[in-house]
Amino acid sequence: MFDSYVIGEGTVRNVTEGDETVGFAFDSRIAYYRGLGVSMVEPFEITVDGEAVPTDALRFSLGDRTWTFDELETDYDTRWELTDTATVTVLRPGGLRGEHTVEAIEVLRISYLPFPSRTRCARTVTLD
Amino acid sequence: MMTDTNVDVAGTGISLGVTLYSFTNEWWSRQYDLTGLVAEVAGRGLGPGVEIVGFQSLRTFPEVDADSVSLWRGLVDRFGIVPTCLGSNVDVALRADRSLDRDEMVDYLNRQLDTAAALGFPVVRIQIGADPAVIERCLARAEKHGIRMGMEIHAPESAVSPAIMRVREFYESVDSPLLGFIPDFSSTMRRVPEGVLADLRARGLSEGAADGLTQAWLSPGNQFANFGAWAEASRAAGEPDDAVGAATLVFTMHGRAAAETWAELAPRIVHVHGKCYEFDEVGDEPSIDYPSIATVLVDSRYQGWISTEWEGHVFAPPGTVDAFDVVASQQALLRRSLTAAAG
Repeated sequence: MFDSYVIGEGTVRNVTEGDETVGFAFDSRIAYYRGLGVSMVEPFEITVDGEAVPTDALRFSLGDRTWTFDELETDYDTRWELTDTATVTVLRPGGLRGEHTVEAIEVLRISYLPFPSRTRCARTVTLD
Repeated sequence: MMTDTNVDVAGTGISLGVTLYSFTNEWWSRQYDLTGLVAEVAGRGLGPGVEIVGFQSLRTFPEVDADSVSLWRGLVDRFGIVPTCLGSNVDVALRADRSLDRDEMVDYLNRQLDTAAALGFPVVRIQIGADPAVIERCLARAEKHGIRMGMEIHAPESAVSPAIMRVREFYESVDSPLLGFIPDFSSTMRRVPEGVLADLRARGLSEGAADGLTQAWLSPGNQFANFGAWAEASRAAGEPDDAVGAATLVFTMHGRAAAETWAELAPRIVHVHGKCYEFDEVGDEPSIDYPSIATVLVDSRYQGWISTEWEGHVFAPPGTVDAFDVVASQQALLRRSLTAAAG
């Protein structure tokens, strides 16, 4: 059930700073039945029209806090709850204009699995 | 009130309740806060037993502050619910660079035992990830609080699988009344739930491949080998990769051990998870043989709680099924099954 919430429907939007479009963002929910400490959230694997986005271009936000995935890895104090909506931002000058396909894989280190859980979602969006 | 009929059903000593995990969809979609959820459970007569997963229901878990404790204890008093079991988790993969070591795992679990005591839960559900050495070292804390630790036996494990046999031997060597098991009906199923198959078909799995999957699940031999052979053949036949991958859960979430195997654990059963997925028009659960399981529990003189655990959220998205109605159906079936078994 969680697949379609990795990229929330209708949430892909451009992000501006001043007059500049610095990237795009989308809402994401945890693809699990309970909350997990954010250190267990591995970098999202994101492609735009099939082209991979480097991890250092990603930011992860909960409430008013934002992390790089390097920072997230050692944050043992914050939890991504089942009821929290996170924002994933992709730094990409100019953002998205026109029609694009965004794919995101949410990767979580779930304890009793010998491999990380991977939940995939792809959406084709058209932004002005 | 329906709640009364859930206590000591037909004089068996078995009482019913629910785990709030059954309402994962309602919680996910923020329809209820903890007070609202407990009120709804009580109002619909789905208690009195209430179980929670700490990391799902409590934002600061494993720590709880005084306000959280008084909120929970207030709910217990106000709605007449009975805290039955607290689901713990040991996040061994907390760190990216290494697994938690034993000291860290003991600390992680001990903090959850402390919280269970603060909230008044008599049983803490532990999982196969907690090895005997960790459990043994947490026993002192469990003794301090008088809390029983129950290892959940969930598919693909069963009462007689090698990993659980090792825990059974360890329990025999320690022989503490505070160490036990929590059978989960997911280990002893008779069919793959239709909702699971429908979800796979919606992902593009063909009717033929879905039938093949069911046959592989029902076949004797190693379940993972059965799945592997089916997956390989299905991919070769051009079935969608996503659907074939998603089918893994048929083998990890649904076991087909015989219901009778629960009897071997009888003296050490400290709590029970009454898994369910869907109900037919006569109120039966096609994928789980409730009458047989009820007979085993009654005949082996299990006395304690059964938490209804609806797991249909794996195929039914939020807003599509009223989990409270499903839980009510399961409890009605369980009451009928227990009454017949006691007769």
